Amino acid sequence: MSARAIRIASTLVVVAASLSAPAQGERPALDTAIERTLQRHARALAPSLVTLRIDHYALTRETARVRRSRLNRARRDRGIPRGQADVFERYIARARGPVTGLLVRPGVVLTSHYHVVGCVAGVRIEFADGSFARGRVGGWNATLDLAVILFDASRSAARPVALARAPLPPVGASVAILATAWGRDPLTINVGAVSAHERLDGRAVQLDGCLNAGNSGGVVIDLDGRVVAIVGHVDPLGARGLNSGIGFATPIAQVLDALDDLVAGRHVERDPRAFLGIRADSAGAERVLIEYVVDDSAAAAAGLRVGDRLVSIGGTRILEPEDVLRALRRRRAGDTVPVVIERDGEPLTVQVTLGSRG
Amino acid sequence: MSRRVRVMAALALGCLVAAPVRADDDEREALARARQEQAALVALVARCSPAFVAVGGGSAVCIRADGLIVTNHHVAGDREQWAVYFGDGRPALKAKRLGADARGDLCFLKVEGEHSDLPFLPLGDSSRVVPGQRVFALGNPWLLSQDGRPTVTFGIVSALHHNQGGYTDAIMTDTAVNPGNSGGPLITLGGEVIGINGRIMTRFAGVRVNTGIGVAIPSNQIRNFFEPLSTAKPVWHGELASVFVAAAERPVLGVRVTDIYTSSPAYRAGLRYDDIVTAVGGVPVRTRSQFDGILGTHPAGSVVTLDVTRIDADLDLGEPIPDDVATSRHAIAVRLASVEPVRHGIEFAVGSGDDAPYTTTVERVEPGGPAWCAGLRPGDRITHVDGEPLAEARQFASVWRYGYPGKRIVLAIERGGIAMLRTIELTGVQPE
Repeated sequence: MSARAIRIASTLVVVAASLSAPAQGERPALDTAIERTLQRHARALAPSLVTLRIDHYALTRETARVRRSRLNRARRDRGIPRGQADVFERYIARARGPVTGLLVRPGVVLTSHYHVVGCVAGVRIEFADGSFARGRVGGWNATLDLAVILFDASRSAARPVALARAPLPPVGASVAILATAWGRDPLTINVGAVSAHERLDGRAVQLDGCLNAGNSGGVVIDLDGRVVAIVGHVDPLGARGLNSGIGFATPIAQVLDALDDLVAGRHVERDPRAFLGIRADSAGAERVLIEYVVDDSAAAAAGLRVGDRLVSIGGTRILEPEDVLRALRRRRAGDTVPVVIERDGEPLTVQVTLGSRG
Repeated sequence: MSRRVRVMAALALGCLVAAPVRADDDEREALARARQEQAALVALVARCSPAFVAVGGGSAVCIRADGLIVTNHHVAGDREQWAVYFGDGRPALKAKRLGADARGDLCFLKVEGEHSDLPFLPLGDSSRVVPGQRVFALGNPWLLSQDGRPTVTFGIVSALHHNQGGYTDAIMTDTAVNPGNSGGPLITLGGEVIGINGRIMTRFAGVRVNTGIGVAIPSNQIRNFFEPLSTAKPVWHGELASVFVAAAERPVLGVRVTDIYTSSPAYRAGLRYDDIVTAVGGVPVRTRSQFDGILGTHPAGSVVTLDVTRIDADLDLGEPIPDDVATSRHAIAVRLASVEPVRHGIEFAVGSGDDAPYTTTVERVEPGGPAWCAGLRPGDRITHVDGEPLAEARQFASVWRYGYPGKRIVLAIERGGIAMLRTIELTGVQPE
């Protein structure tokens, strides 16, 4: 161990000992330092944050029929099949409340994707100094959950924030999330920790802060006040846009990579998720059998049958049913993976070209 | 960070714009301290994460270098063999189930093969935990992890000793706990496991996401059941049979004994009517459910010490306790009976008359049961149980009421005019 490493280690031991100061019921007097530092950075960044009011839902009174027809038109414009319309509407429906945006260049506001794709009438941008401007949707990227709103830069004197590549804070580090949760006017700041990196197929960093639907488009800052991620993917997992302690944000490096395309107005749809089309069940002793094969699926096309024992998928050994998900997680529709099965005691390798659902 | 340090500060925008950002000494000091604290937390998480284990649809934690893993029964209890994924991202290891405790929702797994250097976290002492203390959870909510690396969520201990029904002495935490966190550890900032997250309090049964009230099994419950769980023996939870209590505020906080059978082990150990139990096994109790719950975290057959405040006055039945009453303090050690029924395998012959519906003569002995193994046979007449005369079969009820699996009972029997002694060892009846 190098001298430096020893020094760091001994420092950590001291700090960890002070952190653990347990049972006496005293509050360790260090919980305000992170909070205060993040608050200070939040104040510095606040002038560059804007509130976006989506006209279509927030400002006009529409009958359900008119709204439905507009939704359908928006769906057709984007070539989204009718079967996915409900998913589409669910995401758009969230846009009723105001959301958060970040002024990144003169005339360019960055926000998260799903709140704006359904917007046809335009956006009202409210700046921190009380001024406002009308904007229109520029480019969007559904995979990264990003979009930009463009407006006439002369309408506002607000200073854009200079985004720069910043390393993601390590797991366990504190970050502040600045947003307009629930679209109420005052800006909200809440402090959370980085829960994990490389979530949602590497598209997002996971946070345990209080992320509700209105936090979408919010800004994640680290102890140095750098913008390290943009809140998005607001709970696609079943909490219906309410805070579950599991939130996601798109890392700033990926945002910067996509920003030029967004400003140029490019649209990027969501990567279709790989779909194999089987249901697997455990038959004990590390035997996983195919229990059901979906008609017209990739598995059916490749000739997989009910009762086949799964040995491996794309090199991942299948010891239990959950392993099937693990094996398919990083795959995309169109990938070809070797599936090793055992049928009537004979090993058999089948090449399966993965499809997508729906 | 944690809910405690989370601020929902409504910052008036106009004021924000006006306030200049000054990095004065105070702020520099705060930043330095924040960095120091952050570095410690990040290092702590990095140190603890490898001992996290993803198993099946839930989480677990390794607590010994040879690969002893703790998780929830509802995560891993229903299968013998599991593939386990350690938090450092190493390839899956095979593990087999050791002990499983459905009532306590605990399950031990053991990584197969010889290991001496697997990452692990020590079990902490949950009795030293205080409400408000910062903790964090490692877990795999929604199976988000693709490589075994856990989700880290921070929070505080919200409450202790909550009898939640299934978890009878639960730690409640506001750490984000979601489906998939089940079986994962709740860890102190000292890096010790003080609980296993297993439940979420929710008002609506259908909505199973984090509500800010996660419920964890305390580590001391795991310690209490360590021996049977790690040796794959059946697990039996304890109770203080035939003692009835109610919450009391005077003269001390605790639970007041409102009824007690003279035949019960507690009475024989010295517990009396109107005694106020202030602590069970060193843990203060305030309510009946806490009293029952904390007893339930001890195995049947173990000895638990009750801290008792006795009212040294002759009160009438139901008379309120005067404020200036004289009291004395006692420590009473009681052996716990089993919550689950025990089996002795004896049926008595039907007698005549309402007062003694059964005679003390054995009519049937369950073949292969404890009594059978001890050599009892139909026709034997039982004269004494543990040295006390058995006048009527009803008294035999105390054998199963106060018994526990493994308890030995000496029976004096009379067979064909010859007296003999037989020792039977009670067994348990596993719940379905």
